[in-house]
Amino acid sequence: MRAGRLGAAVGLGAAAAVPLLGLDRYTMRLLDLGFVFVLLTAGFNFTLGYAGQLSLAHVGFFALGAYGVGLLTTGGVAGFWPALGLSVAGCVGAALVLGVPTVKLRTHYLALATLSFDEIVRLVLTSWKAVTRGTDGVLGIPPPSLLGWPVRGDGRWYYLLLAVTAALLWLAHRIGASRWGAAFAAMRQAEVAAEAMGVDTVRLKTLALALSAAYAAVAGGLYASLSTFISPEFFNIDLLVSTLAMLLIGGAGTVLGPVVGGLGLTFLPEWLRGVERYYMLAYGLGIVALITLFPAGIVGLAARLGRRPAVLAAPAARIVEPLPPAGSVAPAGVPLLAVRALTVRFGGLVAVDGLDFAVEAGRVHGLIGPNGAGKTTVINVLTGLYRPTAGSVVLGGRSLVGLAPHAVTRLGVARTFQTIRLFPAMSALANVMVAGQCHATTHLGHAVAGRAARREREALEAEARALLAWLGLDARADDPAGSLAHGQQRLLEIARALATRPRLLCLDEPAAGLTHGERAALVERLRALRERAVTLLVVEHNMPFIMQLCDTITVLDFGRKIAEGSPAAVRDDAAVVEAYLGSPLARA
Amino acid sequence: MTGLAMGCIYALLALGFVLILNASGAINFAQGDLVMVGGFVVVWLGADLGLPWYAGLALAPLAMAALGVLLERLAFRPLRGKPFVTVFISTIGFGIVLRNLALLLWGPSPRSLPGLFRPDVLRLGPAVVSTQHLFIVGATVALLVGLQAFFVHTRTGIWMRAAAQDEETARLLGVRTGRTMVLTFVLSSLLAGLAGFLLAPVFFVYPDLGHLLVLKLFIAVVIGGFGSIPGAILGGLFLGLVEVLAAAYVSSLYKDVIAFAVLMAFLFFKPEGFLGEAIRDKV
Repeated sequence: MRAGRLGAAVGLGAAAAVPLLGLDRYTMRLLDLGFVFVLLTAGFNFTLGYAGQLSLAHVGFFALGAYGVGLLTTGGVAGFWPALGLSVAGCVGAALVLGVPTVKLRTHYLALATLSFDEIVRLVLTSWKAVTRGTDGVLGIPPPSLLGWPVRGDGRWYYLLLAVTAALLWLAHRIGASRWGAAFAAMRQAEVAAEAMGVDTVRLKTLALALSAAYAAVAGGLYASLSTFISPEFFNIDLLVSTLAMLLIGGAGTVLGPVVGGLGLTFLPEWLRGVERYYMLAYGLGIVALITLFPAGIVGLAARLGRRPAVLAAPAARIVEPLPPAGSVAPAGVPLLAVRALTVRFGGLVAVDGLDFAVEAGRVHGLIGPNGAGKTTVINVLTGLYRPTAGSVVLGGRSLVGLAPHAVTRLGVARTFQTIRLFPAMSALANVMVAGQCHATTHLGHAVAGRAARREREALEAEARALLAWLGLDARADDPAGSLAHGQQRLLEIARALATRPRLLCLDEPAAGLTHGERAALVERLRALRERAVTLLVVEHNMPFIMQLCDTITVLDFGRKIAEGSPAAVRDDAAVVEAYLGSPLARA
Repeated sequence: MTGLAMGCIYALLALGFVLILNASGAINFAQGDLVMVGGFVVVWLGADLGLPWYAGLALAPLAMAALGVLLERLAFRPLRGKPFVTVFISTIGFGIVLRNLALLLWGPSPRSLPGLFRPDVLRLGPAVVSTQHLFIVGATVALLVGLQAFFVHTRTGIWMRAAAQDEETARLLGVRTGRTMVLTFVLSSLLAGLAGFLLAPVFFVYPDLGHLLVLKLFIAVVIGGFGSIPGAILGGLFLGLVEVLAAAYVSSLYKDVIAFAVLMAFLFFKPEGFLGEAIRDKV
């Protein structure tokens, strides 16, 4: 951290000294232009680098920002700064509108939808001549003024752009280092799991899009004023390609990536001038070569080479009790969860068929049945991942049907996944902390400045460490989750789910792939949980495990309930035996 | 008829793109540039060098095939198993190379091939039909029939399909997947060349043409259903018709805006397109 601050100060000092070198005007202009690209790429980094979404709409927002400033200032409507403010506000508004339909789209689809947005913006700017002056473009855009001084001349422009760029990069860094940064990383690595841990992924993606629009609009407004002339052709697909190359070659998801890529690719054609008329050819080959050599980007590679063992601040000494104290068991007989007439159809397939069951508070409830009986589907419905075709799901008097997974989690239903879905590149501790922030109260402003965010972070970390210790994972807290052994990963899933402070914890095959010893330890921990007012709903195939653990068992077959009762009663039930082993006739 | 002819060209373009997509999982941004090069090669051989048609017929495919191999070797093979954006960038780089190569070799001015046929229009009853348009439709149909036969009846075609569906299993069963991959790129590049050849007499060829085409191609592929071969053909034809109708009944100025609006509408309301598979996350 300290080294980072020192580095930033040295870099900023060096950058501030550049105009003293007496560079020629052309180089200074290129530097100014380079800053514009750094800003634009830093905005793009929010969507592609932070959120992991290939949204390409930043070029459209860049164009809108440039035209906003260009038209408002030349039309005499507003000065530069009010015009820039209006453009940024307009672009953020447009991003919120664009976000509504695009937020559900992924990968290629998102890329194409946002690419269409860029093209529509460009085509409208070209065709709507009455307002935009079409291909003639907007001429004579005035420079901004600061405290009555017009920003003229290379030196002043340079310092203005350096200041704006440094400020916005610092902001990007703060957001990346905050709990939103952790949530972004979690969403990037395992979106469904992040949502199930209480991360509102729709909001997070919209936030990334809005931030990228704001940065692009600032870059566009500055560009319009810097170049004094804009026309629609500049905002074409070439520009998109350049920013994409800048971000990926610089290093997506890093703060410095946009700087390296933005400045580097602005100057690359200049360095290639030596090859004269082949320089654009060399530029293309350069891009192929750079991306082949550094698929993670230059900054990404440098970070990997220079990675030290993570030196985290010593854990806050205060060990917090992660769970409600023992003895606070809810009164028996009160249903915490009530499922009525639940039916889930996928096309013609009926996965769950008119299922009724209730889970009493403070109990361990098992859900068993042969493969394809609909057990995981039930958990997916309970946690908001699937919407039931019919029926009701009520938790403590509140209907859960139709709620998004993160909303269900925040109401107190957590889950683990049958196929492990951790955030593999994040440390075990960070995995748990992401889930813990589902009850966090700080807002984005706190992340930028303020102590509240740090205090909250420390509390989260203490709680997460305590949870890891409680499950025997404290020794691996700082290792990437993906490097843990299988059994430890299962435990980490449970720790992560517990961090959301659930009332009902759904475990989807928690014992799968565990050794005998690990299984016994797991039973002991889960029984201890019951003592602490966490109600459990367990799906499992391992019979000794489930018989040992559960108070009540519901048996499903082909989506229907065929038996329910105590482990002993269920074990001797004729229908259950038949479902598992076939009819007596077939066995004979 | 104009719509149908443009639709056929879009369909060829989209087809080449989908072949690569299915085989390698990669978005080939240079597909439009390949068509541009194909068009220039034809104009160059036919109009500039004045070679007889049979020489052109032999040389142009050879050049396109070589380009396909080059594309696979330079922009795809070194990045296998990398995330798709990375490959996306490298094909973008390759496209920039092609565009500037075209600029160096053939200059920036739009070129066109003189019509191949005399007379250039035919009267069929009351309707007047351009011969070149008829030729485009005929050639596309013939090619599609041929491709279908190739993929269904030849061993190489079956291997290529197998490798595209499951590379690992195909390799275990003795398919040389490295070769089928190169072949896919060659085939895709040949399709692009053919599209360029058909396009050159009715459209201008210029170095930046690739951008326009690749955007059209994306629209066609999404409308048809991402990754579906019949979908790509259907999407291409549909796009051609939409454009001609939009130009005729709404405004030729806004015909591209309408094309993109149609794309967005599909993405929002029917992202799987006409023939694609429903997109669903499985847990």
